[in-house]
Amino acid sequence: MKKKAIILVLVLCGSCLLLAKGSNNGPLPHQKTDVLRRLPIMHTTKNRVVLPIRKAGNLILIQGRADTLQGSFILDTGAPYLVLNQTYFRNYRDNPEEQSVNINGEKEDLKIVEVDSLYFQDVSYNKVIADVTDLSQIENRKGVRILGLLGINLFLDFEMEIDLSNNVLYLNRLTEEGQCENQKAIVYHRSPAFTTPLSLSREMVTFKGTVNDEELRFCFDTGAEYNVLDARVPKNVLEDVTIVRKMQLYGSSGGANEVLAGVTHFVNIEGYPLANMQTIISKLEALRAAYGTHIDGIIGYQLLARGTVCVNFKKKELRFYTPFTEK
Amino acid sequence: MKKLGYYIVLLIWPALLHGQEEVYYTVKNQALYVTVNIQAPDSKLDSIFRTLNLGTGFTDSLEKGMVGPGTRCGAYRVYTIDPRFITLISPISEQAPTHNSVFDLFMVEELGTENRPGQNKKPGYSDREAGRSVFRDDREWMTGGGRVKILLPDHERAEKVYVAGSFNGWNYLENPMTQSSEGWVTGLTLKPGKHLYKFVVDGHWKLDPENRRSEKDFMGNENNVLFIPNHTFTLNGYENASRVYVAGSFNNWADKEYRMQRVRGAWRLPLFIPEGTHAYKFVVDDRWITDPANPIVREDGAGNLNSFLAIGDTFYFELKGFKEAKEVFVSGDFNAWQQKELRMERTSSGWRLPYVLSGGQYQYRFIVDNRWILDPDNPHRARNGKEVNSLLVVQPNHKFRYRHRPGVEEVRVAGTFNGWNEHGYTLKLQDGEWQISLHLDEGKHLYKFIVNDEWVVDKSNPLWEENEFGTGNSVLWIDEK
Repeated sequence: MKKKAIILVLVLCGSCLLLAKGSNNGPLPHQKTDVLRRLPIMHTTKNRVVLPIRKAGNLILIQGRADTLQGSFILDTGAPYLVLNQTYFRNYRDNPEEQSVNINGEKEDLKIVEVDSLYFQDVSYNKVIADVTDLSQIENRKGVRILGLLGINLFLDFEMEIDLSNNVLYLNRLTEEGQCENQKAIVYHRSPAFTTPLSLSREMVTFKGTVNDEELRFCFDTGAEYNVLDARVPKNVLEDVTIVRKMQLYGSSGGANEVLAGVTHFVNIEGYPLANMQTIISKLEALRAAYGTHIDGIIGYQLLARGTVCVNFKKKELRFYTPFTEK
Repeated sequence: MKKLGYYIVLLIWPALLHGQEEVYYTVKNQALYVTVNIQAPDSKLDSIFRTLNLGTGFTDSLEKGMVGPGTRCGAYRVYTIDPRFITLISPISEQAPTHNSVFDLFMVEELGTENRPGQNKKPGYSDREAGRSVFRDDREWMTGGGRVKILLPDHERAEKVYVAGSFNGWNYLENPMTQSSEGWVTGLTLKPGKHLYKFVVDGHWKLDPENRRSEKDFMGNENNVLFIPNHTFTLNGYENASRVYVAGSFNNWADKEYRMQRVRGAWRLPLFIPEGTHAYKFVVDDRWITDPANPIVREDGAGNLNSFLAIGDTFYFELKGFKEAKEVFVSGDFNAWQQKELRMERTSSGWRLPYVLSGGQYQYRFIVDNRWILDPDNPHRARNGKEVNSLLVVQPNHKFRYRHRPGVEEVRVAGTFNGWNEHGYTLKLQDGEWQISLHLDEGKHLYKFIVNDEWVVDKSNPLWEENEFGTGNSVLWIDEK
């Protein structure tokens, strides 16, 4: 049977029952690596690093180099750290200091390696611990060589400023207080459409929003092409969704499921209405059980496509700016 | 509850009546209601019910009156039914797949798309489209030998400038530019054809302001287009003409697309033209003429004469022997297996036919006095259905090798490049290894060897990925370079 993309500690296949049981018995024994561990050593001489973005459909690609291999990486705030494609990193030596264990405390069959150097224009990292997993499905569907996913912990020292309309990612270096060292950027002289607090849990970044007046918690995941709503959100939430058709949902490493797809008429964040967001409906309870974080949905590209998004992990806030038009 | 059903049907009625949609989804009380216009054609209904995983027999059951309110079908129950509409209901939870990992980056696509490399081919080099590049500043950008000068004027204050394109997999880090008195400059060696590129100026993408042509790809990016020419049209004389164009089968005979330039007593135009045979003419001040310097002129069947031009390497089909034969033809998938189109010429040692084909794999046979035979001098075979044919590879760009071991009697290769055809392409045993060179398109390919009918990954290739059988596929990237 084909290996699934098990990126952290879960043996997902065949473990649903176990997970359901776990979730009924209170918090799970988390022994997995979290966002704040495995911090790589970052070098940059710039306080505002500019990285050009290329799009592969709704995915954001950044060019970089991991040791000697050059290629594209996907910006994926749904991942806590660097994840490498096993097609190219299969022969890396396992890192003995990093072990992953499953929810029963057993050693997980998951390859964890260390990349000596990870380089992007004007920013580089040393000693980057990375999971190695199968990302072949993304490559095959997008037709682009994908070396890996760039997860959150590479960006903790920065404010990420994602400006998709200009195809650019700015990494603004932060002071200890979480202020951007370089205040020259245009966005800092404008008022955001909204600022919302972020919660940085062990594995994911979340924020609150409402749909049909119901408060929901969303994971911020730049690798999510569509919004996701949990099938078990309160019933009036789903009533704000117009289902248009069935589509095919592909995971990164394989496996495909049919899924209901439509639009959520309004997602409100801090009172700011985001209209007509493309949405699929999926079951997220396994995530809750696995990561101990309650989420009702996932938001990524559908937000990024509407303006500039600034994510500051020190201040723990997400700011959204409507597209800037010069007068 | 029943009222709700009527309410839903009433809500969707206008859309259905207008024939815009034959199926309509509504979510209420955590249930999915699917209303289908059952007056739609059977083929459409079959397709809708297949989408709902009800099977193709459901349309029949419906017509036979075997379906009524409460009938269970798959994940659904029939909620209401009347002569025009059926409404099915299912708990929303049964319609939602489980999202196992937030790290499992996901993609959403139309139903029916298959997982096949190359299906969403990345925008890149093309050798199938004719064209020319024109710069606003009329610069000399071809510097000979396929060498191209890439120039971005001005930008004196920029710190780092790169050029990225189909030629470096959009990996801009590979091609830094250097600052000069003209601006930022670099030299590239590019093969003839259509290339895409863009600049990266201090981290910001920038289109070439001097290049008149750019295009958007399906991935959401806009890029400049650069055609490296492979043929120069020349028309001597006509010094008094005011405008001269060249038009042909390569541009659908558009008469004012390719304007020629006046150069010392002649008109010239370098163009990229896809490989193959093309008909063309010059248009001199609106008058169509054949190329006086080209002796190959053919009639088009409607009384018009056109000049003909073959672009690409000439390949010679050769069949040794068969000296007693009266006539020999060659036939293959390149000429739709026409039996008597490509007549071979008799030579002192057998039969021969020059032919121009673009890069790729072709199947063929010789027809000797109406008898179809394989090419006796070509060990490479391929199969078209039940028929085994000889395999011709034009412009190979990758060699597959499999080390010979005792007991190995046959090695074939199959992959995404031949639709995983189980008969594959037959390798030739030479110098202790099985070999075949193929012409592969740019991008990602998956493949396996078939050794004595057993599928195996290429052990000499460290790149492989999992497949649905858990047996792995070898991975190969063909780059533009």
